[in-house]
Amino acid sequence: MVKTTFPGAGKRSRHNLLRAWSQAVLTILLIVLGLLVSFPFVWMVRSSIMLEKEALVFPPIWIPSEFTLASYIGALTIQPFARYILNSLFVSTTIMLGQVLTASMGAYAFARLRFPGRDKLFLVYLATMMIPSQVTLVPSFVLVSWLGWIDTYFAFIVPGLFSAYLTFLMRQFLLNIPKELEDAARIDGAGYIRIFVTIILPLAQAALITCALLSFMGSWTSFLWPLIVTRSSDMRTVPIGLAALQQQQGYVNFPQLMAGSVMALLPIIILFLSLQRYYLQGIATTGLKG
Amino acid sequence: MTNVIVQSKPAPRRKMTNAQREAWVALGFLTPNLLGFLLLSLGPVIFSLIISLTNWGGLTVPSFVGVDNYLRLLKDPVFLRSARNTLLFTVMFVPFALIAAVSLALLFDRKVRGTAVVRLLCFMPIITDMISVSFIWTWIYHLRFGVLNYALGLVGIPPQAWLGDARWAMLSLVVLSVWRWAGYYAVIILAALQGVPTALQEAARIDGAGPRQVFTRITLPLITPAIFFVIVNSIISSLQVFEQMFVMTKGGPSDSTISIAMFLYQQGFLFLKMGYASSVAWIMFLGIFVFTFINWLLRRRWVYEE
Repeated sequence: MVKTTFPGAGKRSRHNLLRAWSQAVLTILLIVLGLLVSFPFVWMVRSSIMLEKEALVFPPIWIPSEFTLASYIGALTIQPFARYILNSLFVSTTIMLGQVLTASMGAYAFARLRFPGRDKLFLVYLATMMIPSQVTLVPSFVLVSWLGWIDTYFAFIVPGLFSAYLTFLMRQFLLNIPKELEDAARIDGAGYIRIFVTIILPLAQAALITCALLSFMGSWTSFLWPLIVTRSSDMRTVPIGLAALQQQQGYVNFPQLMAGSVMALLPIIILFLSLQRYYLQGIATTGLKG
Repeated sequence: MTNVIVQSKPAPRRKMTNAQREAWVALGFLTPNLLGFLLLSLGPVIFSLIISLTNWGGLTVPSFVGVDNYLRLLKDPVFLRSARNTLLFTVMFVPFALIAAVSLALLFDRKVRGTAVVRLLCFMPIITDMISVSFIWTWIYHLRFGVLNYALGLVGIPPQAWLGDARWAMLSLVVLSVWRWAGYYAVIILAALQGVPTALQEAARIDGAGPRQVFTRITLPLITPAIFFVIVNSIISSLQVFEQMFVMTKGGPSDSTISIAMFLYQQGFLFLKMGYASSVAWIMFLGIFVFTFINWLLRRRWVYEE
């Protein structure tokens, strides 16, 4: 009917209607997707703050009748969970500092300086990046045992002080810094170290934060290596402690496991949310150049 | 005396050219990194290859056995089982993850209001540690109290032992892995989508191409490098799959979810067969190498290059 009077206008309004419809469908799709994807996290939090007897009811009670921190207190007292968090913080921070230092210095040499065999050496670096970490698992373990480092912080930290991946990532960032700035500084009489500290590092600030973040989160979530080099409960990092929590009692106390998971996830989620820009930048850099 | 020294000192410096000086400085900057590389990466890699040729059992004195470990592996039914399981995981995970990632990226690219929040939510799983995630999903999959069985019960599907039934266990692990990785891969594909020049799409549209044609002829070919990256990386990471199995199924039921990495862990660190475990690691590397190599060979057939 509308179409007969103003064909053009009718077409336009039909077009608008279609647009509005597709917008609405997409919005609903987005909402459903968001709910589905975040559901496991919501379920984790919900299960961590309810009474155990209410969690073990079928069909599930959606809204607990009372909120309780009993599971958190349980997780913190049944084993030294606070100690695990401190262990993880200490280990991850130390590794992060070491990795960023070695990676940025190495990347400076690879990206900005010329020396014989540079590109060949870098190719060897790239080649070893393809070798899965499982290959070095046994020899690293043997080495660490020989040195008597099992169940010490050295076992966590020393093997983590170098990362070919971060060296690669840092090099990609440093390649993009314009040569002119360096040349200008050199004419002013600045040496290599001075250029590195006063020109390169400040310009690579975003890259440094990205690398630090990737490194910290990598060691925070690392599981297999800490698992095989820890013996005593006092040396566990958060993921190892969490895995041990599962075996602590004769049965699996799910609300307590969920409380432990919340405590394990909270630090990295906060870290990620506050620095997500840098994190995504790191992903895009490796993703597009890989 | 002092005069002689002062005079002789600048002499070698003058001899050193700028290029030489730069090389020495580079070596200085590189030393900590190179030391780490040699001692923590390249050294252990070579050491691992040597261990894999011995029958070392941790406490015993190792002796050289050649490729015996590798030959035994190829006849070890549990290893073969783990290899088959890992391949099965890869075959299910890679296409699911890719389809999910491309769909997510296309949805995010529409820039509907609220996209940023949902994109962030989808990205969240990848930053979390696998152990927490595995616990959450074990709880969701729980036979008696799991919310999944509850939801399926609403539509009349009887409860299943998702992790305890050999028919479902691997699929359940794949689902959680797709949930964890899809958002990450989507971000990579989205970056490529947003890098497609709109001028090209406009030009095609003016030439009379419909939305579908614009997508299949312009957009899709231009994002193939990102898709290639996702395929290569998702294959590599699924060949190393470990934590999910370790926490959620322990490789069971009846070895139906034991992966190569899990087999390696058991041999090396439960049974202390260091030589045997090292050869497992090298077979895993070989698998990764072969898959990556095939991908690079096929690359020319379908990946767009400028």
